[in-house]
Amino acid sequence: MKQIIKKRYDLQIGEAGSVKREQFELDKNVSKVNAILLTSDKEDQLYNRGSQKIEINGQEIFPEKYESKLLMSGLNVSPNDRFYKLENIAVGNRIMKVEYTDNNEARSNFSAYRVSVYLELETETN
Amino acid sequence: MKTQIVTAVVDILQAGEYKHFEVRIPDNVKTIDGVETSVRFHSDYIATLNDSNTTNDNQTMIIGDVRLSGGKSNNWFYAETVSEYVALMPKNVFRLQALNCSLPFIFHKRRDGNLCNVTPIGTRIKGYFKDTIGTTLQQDIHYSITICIHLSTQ
Repeated sequence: MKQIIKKRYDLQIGEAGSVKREQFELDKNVSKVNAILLTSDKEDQLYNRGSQKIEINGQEIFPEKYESKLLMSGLNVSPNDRFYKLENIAVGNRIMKVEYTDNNEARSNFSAYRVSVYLELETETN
Repeated sequence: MKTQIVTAVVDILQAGEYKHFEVRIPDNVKTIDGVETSVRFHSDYIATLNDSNTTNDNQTMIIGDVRLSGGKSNNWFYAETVSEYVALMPKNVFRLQALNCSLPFIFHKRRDGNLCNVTPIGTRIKGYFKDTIGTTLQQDIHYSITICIHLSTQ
């Protein structure tokens, strides 16, 4: 039976201008990655300072310098439309690599923050 | 068919600056699905702006114009006036804006598919960005524009 679940993966950003690389393993019963969303505990920091590269199964989904604000969503968006839809993403080795870069920006002074990557996943259960 | 994104970063240093750029795309691209732009300010001057420089509703200003060519259908297949929040946003104000439902980016299903559906004529997308905010504020403002082009490849 197919089931849609949402999973959250966190990165802690502790230093201004730093690059944080993390690797996450998706659950074994995941058959498809449907969509992605970025949020943070300090949205202004993520909105103004963040950019990232995301790979799933070695396939580059978002390239370096792709700004985080383009993957954020507001409360004015209906919950079903908040995620950015991904198509034809093979799950393969079930490894997601995130390379997050904090960039200095005139509008936002740095303080440590958390970046959360939400994935909408399709799982197979017996 | 797979999707891919290519990016180009354009640095603007002076008021009214007009900058041409070129982005290489792979040769197996079938269509250009959509284009997104994003602004990052490097000049501290922008942090000194307050509500009097912007409208009270959303604190946005026009940053400049971007145009892209290299598609089959038109000379310029993409043209956009780039707007962005310019005032310094304290955390609580940002949260308040989120609660007031005024975050600028709204996603829909296949959002980029709806933006443009263009067949490229080569492996280069050419375009230009023209500064407006510097001219409006009569200041040389240093910022960078990231242009992200969504592609469908075979």
